[in-house]
Amino acid sequence: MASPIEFFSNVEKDSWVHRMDPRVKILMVLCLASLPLLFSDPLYLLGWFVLFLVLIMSAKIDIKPIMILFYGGLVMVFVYIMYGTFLAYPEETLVYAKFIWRWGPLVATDIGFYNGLILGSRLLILLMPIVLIIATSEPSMLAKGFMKLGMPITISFILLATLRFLPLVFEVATRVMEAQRVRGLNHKTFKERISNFKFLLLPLFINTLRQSRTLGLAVESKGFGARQWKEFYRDFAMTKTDWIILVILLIFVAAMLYIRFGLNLGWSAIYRP
Amino acid sequence: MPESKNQVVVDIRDLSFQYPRGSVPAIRNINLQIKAGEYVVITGPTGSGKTTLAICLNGIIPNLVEGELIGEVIIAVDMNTKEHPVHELTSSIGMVFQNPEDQLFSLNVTDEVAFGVENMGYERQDIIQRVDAAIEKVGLVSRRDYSIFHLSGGQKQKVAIASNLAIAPQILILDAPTADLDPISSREVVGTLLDLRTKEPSKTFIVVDSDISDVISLADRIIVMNKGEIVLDGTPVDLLKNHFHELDDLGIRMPDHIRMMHWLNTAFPGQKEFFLEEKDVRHLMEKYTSSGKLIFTLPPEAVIPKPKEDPVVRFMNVSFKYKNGPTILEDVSFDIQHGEFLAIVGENGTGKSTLMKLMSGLLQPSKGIIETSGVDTSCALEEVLNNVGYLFQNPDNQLFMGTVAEEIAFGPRRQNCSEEEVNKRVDEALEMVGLQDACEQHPFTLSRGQRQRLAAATVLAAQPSLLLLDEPTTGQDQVALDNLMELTQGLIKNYAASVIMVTHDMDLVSRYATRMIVLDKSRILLDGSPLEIFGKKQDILARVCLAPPSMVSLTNNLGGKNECIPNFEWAISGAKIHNDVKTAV
Repeated sequence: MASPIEFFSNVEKDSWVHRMDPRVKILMVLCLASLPLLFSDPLYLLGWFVLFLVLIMSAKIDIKPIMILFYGGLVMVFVYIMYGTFLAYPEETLVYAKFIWRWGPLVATDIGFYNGLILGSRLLILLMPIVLIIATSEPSMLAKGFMKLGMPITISFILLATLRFLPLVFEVATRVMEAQRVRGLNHKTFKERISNFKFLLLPLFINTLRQSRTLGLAVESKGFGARQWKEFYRDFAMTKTDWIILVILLIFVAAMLYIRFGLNLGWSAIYRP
Repeated sequence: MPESKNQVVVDIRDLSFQYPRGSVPAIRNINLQIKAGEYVVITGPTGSGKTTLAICLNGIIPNLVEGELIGEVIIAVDMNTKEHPVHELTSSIGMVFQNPEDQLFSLNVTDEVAFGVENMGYERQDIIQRVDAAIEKVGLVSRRDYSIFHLSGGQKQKVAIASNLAIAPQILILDAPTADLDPISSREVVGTLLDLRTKEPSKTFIVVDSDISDVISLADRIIVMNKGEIVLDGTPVDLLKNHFHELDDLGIRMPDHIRMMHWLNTAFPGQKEFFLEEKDVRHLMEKYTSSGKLIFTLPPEAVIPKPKEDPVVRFMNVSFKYKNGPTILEDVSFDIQHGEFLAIVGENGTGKSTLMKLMSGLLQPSKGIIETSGVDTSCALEEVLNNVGYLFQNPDNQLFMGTVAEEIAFGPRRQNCSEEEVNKRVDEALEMVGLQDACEQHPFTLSRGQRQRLAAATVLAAQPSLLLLDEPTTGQDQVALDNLMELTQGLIKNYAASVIMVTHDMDLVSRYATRMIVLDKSRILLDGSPLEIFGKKQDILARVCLAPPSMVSLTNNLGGKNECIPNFEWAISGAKIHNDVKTAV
């Protein structure tokens, strides 16, 4: 698991995404994360996937240190695929299925699997711009950017605290697992991880709680509770590039809306009775 | 507004506090006044209540920590901590915590220093002015745009100090500010505090630490706590001269030059002055040695076990690097014999911890072979782990069973010992660490000191042939550290085990280690006895920014002899006082 220094290693890189004003970056990611939800045609979803891949590559992001963000997403994708595959479809739908597998009350069909795949792909695509923004932004600048866009200070602070605490939990887990390994408790194979998970939980919880408590007290003693954010040391100033990106973004959003609703493209009925 | 000197800025009246699950109050009947511009050190053994007192001062208690608070704390003349939330007290009292890693919230130096003033809602111009001034005061101008991950421990602690200074509180509390730092970083932080004292004479500094070695030269006043109460309060000279044994019995870590000063005071009854500065103590020693009243003789060197065919650990041309990372260790070869106590020292990032993880089999070498008790760590890891005991800095990482007894029994059971043998080892280990009465308790209900002893017990019960100690001084007072070292000595004596310790504490090395390895730039720079390295290789140590123990500086070339004494115990055991001197020693 990545330490905080590894987890945030992408933030220190330099690319056009890193240099963007946090507000423009937030707007861009909000648009890019929500637009794919309008599409379900696999070809269009593939297009979104390629677009995000290009964006992540152009931002010089190394995926390995932030793989943990994908792990959670991949679990959700798997759950979605399973959900779609085993959803109880009406019998009249099943006549269209080319493949049916039954085991007790469970019924899996190729239609269900296809539906699950589309649902999972859309979730994965949604995850990509989120990874883009987390990997290229300092948590505090991101939270300040949200606040400048009108998000309540308390929610901005919660976001900031979550981003700061997440790698801390991974670091503590690594240290505890190492210490337990030396005492003969393994967390290597899947079976060992499952059976020894109970031994990991309490020390992980207590250590994370202690460390985050110290961090919490430290930030409280620096006036965190005042939540008086008005102005910042670093100025928020839109550059010419930011304006250009904003204009391109607006044109892109309009084009996507026109394709989807004006031309009625990009949607394939998932569920076909 | 700066307070005038002699004005009381901290006024504690009949203060007691008890945590919700505590059986006794953590602090009780505290009455204390601290004046503007005073530099106060609050010390005491682990669990004496000093940190609880510190967080009462800045309002964390009672605003954020639950418990029963009786009495009052008045800050900056008229702010009662019961009536103001923490952020309202922030502009009057700041706090720097022990571990720099646990208290920095932002990823960048400037952002972190600005964090507090931004929270307070100041105008941008004011924020810039305060942040720039604070960064300048702690000497971090050249690193203002650095990521905090690229700073040394000392620099991180300076960032924490600067982020408090930017808010410009009248009082700054520092909770064990050098406890988690290497010697270079500690010197950096102490230098900054000395500098700040000159730059801001009206600011009040309160340092809380069980080790007064680093901060003794800064203090105007020392307050000693024990069992939640203030037991001593006075100037450093008064306390160290007249209450030395009380401080020593409480487990307060003191530098060797202070121990030597006290010894000289006792050995030479005519010696009335008590010096705090190392150079003054050295002058005094020179005075006595040159007049022939005092002779220091070098005790015989510790016997280093002769190399055997079957060393406990054998490193053969070992290199290690993380995938896509820099080389951590390069072509390292050495053996460790049975019964050896090896200290591994070096700057942060030189590969000390990696070396320990390689020995325990947690990491595998990129090149070369490592054998632990004759077993190749890359082939039979389980067998290696049966022979290795690893005591981590934080005991909570290695405790996971439901009761103290089960925790200790885990190791012997894993080694397939009979139940009779398991019970025998559990009883022995419980007795050794004094936890017999707690054997059915959950490990996490014990105090930190008890958890540290329990972690030691789990290692002892497994009777390893190799014990690895990772920074054993962290978070320990002198008594707890002495106890741990006694246990390790017992392991060496009873089971011919070898002990390997990673540490920054050169006094500890000089007291216990029979051999030391100095790492530099991924390689072994020096390998020899502490006496030899501290005495004859000081120039090489200085090149890698390592300072020898303070006794070495005190006794270097003393009386024209080209030798030195590495620790206080050796110095006084070999000291001869002229017959004419009537001594109390």
